Amino acid sequence: MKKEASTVLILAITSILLINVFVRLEYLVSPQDYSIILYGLADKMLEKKEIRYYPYPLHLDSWDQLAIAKETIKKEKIIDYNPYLGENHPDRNWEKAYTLLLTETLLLTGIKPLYLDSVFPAVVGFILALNAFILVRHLTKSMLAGLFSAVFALSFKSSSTLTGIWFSVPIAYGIAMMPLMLYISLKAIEEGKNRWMLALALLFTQVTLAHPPSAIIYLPILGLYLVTQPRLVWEHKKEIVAAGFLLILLALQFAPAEKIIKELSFGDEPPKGAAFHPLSFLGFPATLLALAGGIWCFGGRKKRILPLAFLALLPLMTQFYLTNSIFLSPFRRLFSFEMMLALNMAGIGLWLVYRKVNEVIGRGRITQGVVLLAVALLLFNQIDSGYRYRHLLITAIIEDDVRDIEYLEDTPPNSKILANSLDSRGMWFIGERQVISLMPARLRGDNKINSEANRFCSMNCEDKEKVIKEMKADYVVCTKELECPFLNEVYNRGAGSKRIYEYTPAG
Amino acid sequence: MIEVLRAVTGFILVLFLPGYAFSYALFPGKEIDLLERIALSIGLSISLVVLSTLALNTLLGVAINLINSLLVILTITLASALTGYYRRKQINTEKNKSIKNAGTKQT
Repeated sequence: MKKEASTVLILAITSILLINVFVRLEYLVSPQDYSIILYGLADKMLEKKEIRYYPYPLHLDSWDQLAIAKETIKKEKIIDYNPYLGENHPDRNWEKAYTLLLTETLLLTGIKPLYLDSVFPAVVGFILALNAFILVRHLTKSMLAGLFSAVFALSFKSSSTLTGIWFSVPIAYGIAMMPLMLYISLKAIEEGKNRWMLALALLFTQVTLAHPPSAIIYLPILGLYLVTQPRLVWEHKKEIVAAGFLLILLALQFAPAEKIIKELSFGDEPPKGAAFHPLSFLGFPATLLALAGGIWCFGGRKKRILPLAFLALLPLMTQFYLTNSIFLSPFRRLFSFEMMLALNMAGIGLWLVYRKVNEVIGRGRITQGVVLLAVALLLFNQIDSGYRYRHLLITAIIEDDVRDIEYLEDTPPNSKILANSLDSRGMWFIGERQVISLMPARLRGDNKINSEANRFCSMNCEDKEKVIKEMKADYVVCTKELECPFLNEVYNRGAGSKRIYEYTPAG
Repeated sequence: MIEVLRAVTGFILVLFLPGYAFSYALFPGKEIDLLERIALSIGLSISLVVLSTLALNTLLGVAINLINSLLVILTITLASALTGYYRRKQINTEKNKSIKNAGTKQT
């Protein structure tokens, strides 16, 4: 019991430190790795300066997921429109189960939607670490291997274009559930009991409705695993035929074949400002460890699932590198799954090396200490490199903006706000007023409107009025002073403030 | 302080409790250890709470609000806990029977 409790505690603390504290304290010193944050933190403490923590969503997709959840609570039903722009802007949500997870969390915890992103990613991170631990411990029968894999999994490199575990986004949830899905699949296959099948079916349905690419990847993964186990295929022939039949029924929805291929093909671009080649993403030591772990895993029937899962997705990755198009799942998502599998194997690789070194040099106190220090340094370096692209994250609002935008709450409830496309998300969340422009992310606004809204503050008065009339705006938000007779300044805090103007047409 | 307590309770209700009870309905004995049960509980909790809400709202038009969510979570938890309790009792009865039978055979 004591061992279990301390494992949970270690994983929880590591998740909070790596996903919340180190990511969100960046704005304290603008460093690029967390060793500098620690230095900056000490510096600030010595100077007795205020320590600032960034509590708002760190990714536009997180803003959007939370916006849909907030609107779901307001309307008390699942919505199918863009909440920022209003009910006449339809939006098909393929990630309903994830939105509902956020909705339920907001309802039950009482946390304000704007602040959930400062807590939720650490919770999902903890789930990921625990699931990675459970899977790897099951495969290796070693707690230490499980712990190494959990820490490696938490070192996943997130960035603004390769979204990962730092944000409240469905892919983070999909990644977190991956080791648990593999663990339950293995149990279901090994024991063939209906209760494991039921657990698998429940989880698979939820993941499918939360993030379809996170579920569809299990087709090639489990397919390849079963192909390498002919005895198992024969034992479970009935279940396999039933599953195949179900898949064919599903596929028939998209028939004919060209349509199926079109629906499941994705064009994508290599993500900018992010490591997206396995070697640059994992780093050289982790790549070697993953290789060692993967090779070792091939030695056992059960363990084989990790390298086989990696190999099952590899042809699709190769297809993208060769043709810039990919089948089954968008490249960035598939890349994330591949790297998560590799990180789990790297944990096993590190455990193998640790075990081997201990065997060779014996168990003396000093030598043990040296080995532990080497392992700690390796993990430190692995985690440290994860913060490489953090400074590129977009912060849609800062504390001062919140104070300014709160003024909008005093405007009539049906007012429409014209602001630049990046600020609009904050206007909707804090001011609770409908906005007009929206920088494209999970939810998107009209490109022409965005472009006009972004240029608005620099236009001449005649053009400004034309745009206001066209977009039916009631209030305008700019950072600079506007001197047009039809714009009445209603809010100005002083230097650096956002200024809010009410549109008062002549006559 | 109350806000923190509510947040912690809320996370436990959404992410853990229904799944924990359901894990006992599925695995009433000692088939899995505590850590496996915790991991399974989280996955099952999310699945049960989210899928129930989705089904109730889409099919029956049940409103998504705090009271309904609490009712859904408590219903799942209670139903699962009762099933788990019943199955555990069954296992214990069967165990006792087999011990008794073994004892009778020996004598």
